[in-house]
Amino acid sequence: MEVSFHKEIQSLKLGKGETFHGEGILAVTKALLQSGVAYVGGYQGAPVSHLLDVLVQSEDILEELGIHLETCTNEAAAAAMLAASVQYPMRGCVTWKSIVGTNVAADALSNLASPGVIGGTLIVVGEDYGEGASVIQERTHAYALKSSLWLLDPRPELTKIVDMVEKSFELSEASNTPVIMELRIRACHVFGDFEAKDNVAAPHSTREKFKEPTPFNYARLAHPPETFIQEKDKVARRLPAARDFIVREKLNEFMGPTTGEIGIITQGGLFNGLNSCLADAGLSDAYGNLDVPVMVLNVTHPLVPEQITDFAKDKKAILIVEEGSPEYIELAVGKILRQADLQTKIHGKDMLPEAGEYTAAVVGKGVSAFLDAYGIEPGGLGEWLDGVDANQKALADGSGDPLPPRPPTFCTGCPERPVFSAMKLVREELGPVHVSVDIGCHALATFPPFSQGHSIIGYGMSLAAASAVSGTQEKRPFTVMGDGGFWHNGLLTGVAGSVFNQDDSVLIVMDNGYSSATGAQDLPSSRPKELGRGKGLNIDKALKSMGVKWVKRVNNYNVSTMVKALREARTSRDKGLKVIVAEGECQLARQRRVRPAMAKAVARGDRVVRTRYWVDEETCTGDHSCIRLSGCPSLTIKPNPDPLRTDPVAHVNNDCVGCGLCGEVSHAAQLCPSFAQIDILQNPTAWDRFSKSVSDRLIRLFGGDVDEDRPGASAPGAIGVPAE
Amino acid sequence: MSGATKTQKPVRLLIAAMGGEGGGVLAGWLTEAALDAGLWVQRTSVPGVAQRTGATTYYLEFLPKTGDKRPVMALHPAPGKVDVLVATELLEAVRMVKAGYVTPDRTRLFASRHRTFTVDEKSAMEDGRLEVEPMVATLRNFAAKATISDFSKEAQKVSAHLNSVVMGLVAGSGVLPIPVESCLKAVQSGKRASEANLRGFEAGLALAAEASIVPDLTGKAKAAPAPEMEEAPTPVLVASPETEFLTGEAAGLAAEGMRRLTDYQDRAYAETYLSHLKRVSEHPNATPELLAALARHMAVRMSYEDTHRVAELKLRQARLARVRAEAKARAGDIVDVREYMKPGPEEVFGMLPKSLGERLIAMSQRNGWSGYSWPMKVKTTRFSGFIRLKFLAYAKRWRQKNLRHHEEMEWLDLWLGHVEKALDVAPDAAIQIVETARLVRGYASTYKRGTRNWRLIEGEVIAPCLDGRLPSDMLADAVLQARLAAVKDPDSAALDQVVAAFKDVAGSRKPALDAAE
Repeated sequence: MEVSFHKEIQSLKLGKGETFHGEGILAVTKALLQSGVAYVGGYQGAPVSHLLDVLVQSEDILEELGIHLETCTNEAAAAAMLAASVQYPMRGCVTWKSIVGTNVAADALSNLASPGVIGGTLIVVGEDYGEGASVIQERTHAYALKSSLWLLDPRPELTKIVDMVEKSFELSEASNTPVIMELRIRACHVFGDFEAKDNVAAPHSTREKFKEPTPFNYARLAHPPETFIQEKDKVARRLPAARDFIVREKLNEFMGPTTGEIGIITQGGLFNGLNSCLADAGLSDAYGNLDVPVMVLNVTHPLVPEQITDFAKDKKAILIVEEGSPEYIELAVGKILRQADLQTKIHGKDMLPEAGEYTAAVVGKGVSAFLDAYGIEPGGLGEWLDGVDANQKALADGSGDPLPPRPPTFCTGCPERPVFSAMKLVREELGPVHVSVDIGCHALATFPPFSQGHSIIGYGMSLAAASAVSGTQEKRPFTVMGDGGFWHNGLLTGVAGSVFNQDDSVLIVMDNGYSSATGAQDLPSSRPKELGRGKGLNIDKALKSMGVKWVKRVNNYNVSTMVKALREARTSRDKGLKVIVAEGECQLARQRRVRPAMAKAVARGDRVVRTRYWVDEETCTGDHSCIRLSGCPSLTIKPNPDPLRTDPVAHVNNDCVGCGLCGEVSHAAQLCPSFAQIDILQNPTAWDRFSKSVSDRLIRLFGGDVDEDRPGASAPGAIGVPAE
Repeated sequence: MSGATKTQKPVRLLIAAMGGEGGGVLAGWLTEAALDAGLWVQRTSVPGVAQRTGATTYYLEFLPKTGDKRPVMALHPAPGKVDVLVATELLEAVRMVKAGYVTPDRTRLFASRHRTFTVDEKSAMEDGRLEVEPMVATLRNFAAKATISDFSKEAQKVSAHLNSVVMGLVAGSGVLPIPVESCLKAVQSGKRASEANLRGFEAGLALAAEASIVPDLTGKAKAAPAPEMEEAPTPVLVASPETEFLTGEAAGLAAEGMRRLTDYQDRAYAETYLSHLKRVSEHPNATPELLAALARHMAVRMSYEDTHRVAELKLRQARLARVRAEAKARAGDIVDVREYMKPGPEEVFGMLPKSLGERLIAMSQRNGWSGYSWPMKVKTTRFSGFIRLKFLAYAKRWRQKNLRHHEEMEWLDLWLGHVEKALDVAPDAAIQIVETARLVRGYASTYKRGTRNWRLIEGEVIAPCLDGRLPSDMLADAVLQARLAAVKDPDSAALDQVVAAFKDVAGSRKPALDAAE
């Protein structure tokens, strides 16, 4: 890990009465420390990676509070950690990205929920839903229902989020049930403040260790016949206990007047957007002073039937604002009202869309329809929505073509790009093959200019996803996997399975040293460094010990060698799994390390060679083959300086980090002689200057021009490191 | 509730940026400034893949404090409710307009006019860039007030990052209820590169002051400023006495062609070019547009990039200064240039006399060596590399005897012949035939692909129409369609389809009588 979280760590140390300023997920981290957790773990994934990233660097805090921190190898491992609270009175928290992480953890969650816990356990999931989401759109809610886990969806305000974290441990202990807290992307990143409390050390921890294990108790195992008893315990004892706690501790909020003709029930996480719509309609204001009764479900499972019936009983109709599909809350509320024989009308997915993110205009339209249906003039809300429609119409009338998309791409200098350039070259040479792709930065190769990949089926699962393909196609399929996916799941699910079943396929493992897509976390194969947990585990050895015979390690930037290896893997007579380990350090991480070091060296007066690439605009013909094979953000275009030509020429801008891919590609594809490597030798030594002057004299002798190196040429000022 | 709080609304600001531009830092500065000014502030974002140059947004709401009660602020920007929109790139600004976040009743827009091209635009085989002016017009039409200027250039001028300039601009324009001092404090407190950030902030303040007095930068009723050409402006071409037989643009292009070809080979070679032009210009059907296109493309094709030309271009002094500037080398730094070159058999044997070259190429094809090439990295700034290229450049005096030149002149005769024939038979098609010269360019595989595409169009469309086998009235359109199809995809799939379709349609008709005669 090359990122430093010094500032964040300081805010975790705040004590009683001090004000914390920061983003949602950091507030959760602080809340954990205030709740006396004994252990924390998780698997990285936006937008909850930050929780772990910060803690990994907070050694002194962990030490002082005696918290055991585990950076788990996948979400299943993280969920399994919670087993510590099944028989020990210890509070623990784990985190991951949902829905994908929850899927991976599902087995452990079932086996954890069945016996339940005696120490409070909290699972913080990043509900990756809507704009900016990088996973399939499903709801975590389903897991809460099927395994009997309690689900919190707090109002996105830091004080409330922190309070709910603290309460969740109590809820968990009061009902012996693990609790999930879902936080949407914008809630994880919401910046706000809350009044901090002192951090609390757990009674049992790495500092206060248990002397002995707890005595054997079969009843605490998720093993038959106990599982049958546990199932009944979930509904007969734990569920009522949870409902009692929810009511007693007022976890759900009732806002606005106590009575009214209509009312709204909303997931806590959607409250702020809803309030803004109601304010437009004149039914609230910027401070949430509501004129219509609103029930805010900070706990979305379990619902408390009495709370629902109390809220609904004197009302003509209620609107349920529930994001995503299916509409679990609406279904449950329907059952509750039916059983109570209340005739209150329920609206929800009939007025709001069944799927998709509940953005401002979406909620606005639903609320407006609801108000309209019950004779309430939507006022400013209606005017605003009419304005939005009118504006949309004006846009549609005035414009022609849709805008070109701007999907994310590999960073400048990314070591994975050359591999895909090489794959594209081999595809041009030998024709297409089935390519099974995986989760990670390398999935960006599904976008132009590479546009390749036939399936993405799960993290570390690309090789397994190619197993039936390898048996049913004449050309052996290719599989791409990152080192993140490899250690998460791919080594067993993919490699062991492929060797075991004698599949004939090719696997490319991107060995870039980090779990890069989620923010450069360490992996088992990360090199040991000052910060972080890398152990330098060897991927090649792991493969060989699994019985893979054909393993080649290739330096990514050497495109010709990569092309050769890919060609060989495609055409080799060897049956069985062939693995190319594509090696190149994540450039983001590398630049964070190299840039400051280089700047320091230059300032010290050390001899430093800085390299970048350059396109000779006079020999570039404006065909842009190079861009189609590279897609590097720093390889762009500019107007053609030649008055006789009109097509823009290729151009390397100053973001170039000198990885050399463009030159390599121009060699490998035999493109054109326009690429040049520029070495800028800073603080040259006497020998450098001498050899240069000898060379210059010879060049002059033969009628050539030399670099005049005009003294006093303006030196550009220092440019700051680009802020991320 | 009290009347005062009932009507109070937050100021809403949306930032549209691309990953790696520092949009997050900008949002952070604005948050800190608002806190310093004693406002309620909330910020959120969807920066999932923001580091990877994808489009991303940051959303902030500000509200003056009237008491201790905490406001409830939205996490999503709402279309039609954005007071200030900041876009760090032109296309991203337009994207926000299309999403409905810029509305004439309220949105104050700050958009950088510079372009960061999308992959689609960059990878087009010719010019895939979106037009700037219509985008700027869209912004002006939908914003209540717009400041559209190249923030990136302002940043470069003071060696700062774009986000600091934008911070200064927003601070100085007074659109937020935050005093400039609070903004300044926020920028100063940044832990990194704060000197550069301060320079950028000052530049942004200056821009804000300018925007308030220069009407072109603000009022949307005013005409848009002239489009700026990035960096090198195209020099205006001036006719010379010997090209005065041409009019308008053609005369200037021909003069440039003469200069180019004299430099490329010699005066006599350039005069051949001029004589071709003169001959065509005397044809009664030759239009000024045709002559301009011909002057342009013939000069480019006659100065084809062979090994001698490449070597010569790479040894020019002007280049070294350009390299130094682009590489931001400081005085005293030694700059070395290492050229990536990889000539194949065609390039190498093309330098040999025609008969010898042909025999060697035939031999290499027989033996399957045509895929071979010689990768080299030539350090032109050092004597060892210099002398190799110097020799190649010197050898251009034998160019006109070599194989490549022979092939190029054959191509030129064929192309010119078709143009002149078309002037007789199908005058509207002549300029389209001239334009096909664009397809033949580049080196190695690009050159091969271009030549292949050109030969296909020539053999299947141009020649049959001109010699009467197919009707000539469809020629102009067919050549245009074929040329455009040829640059749609590098696999020539679109071109093959267009040519096949043309043969179907044209073949089913009898040739027009006048063409057959």
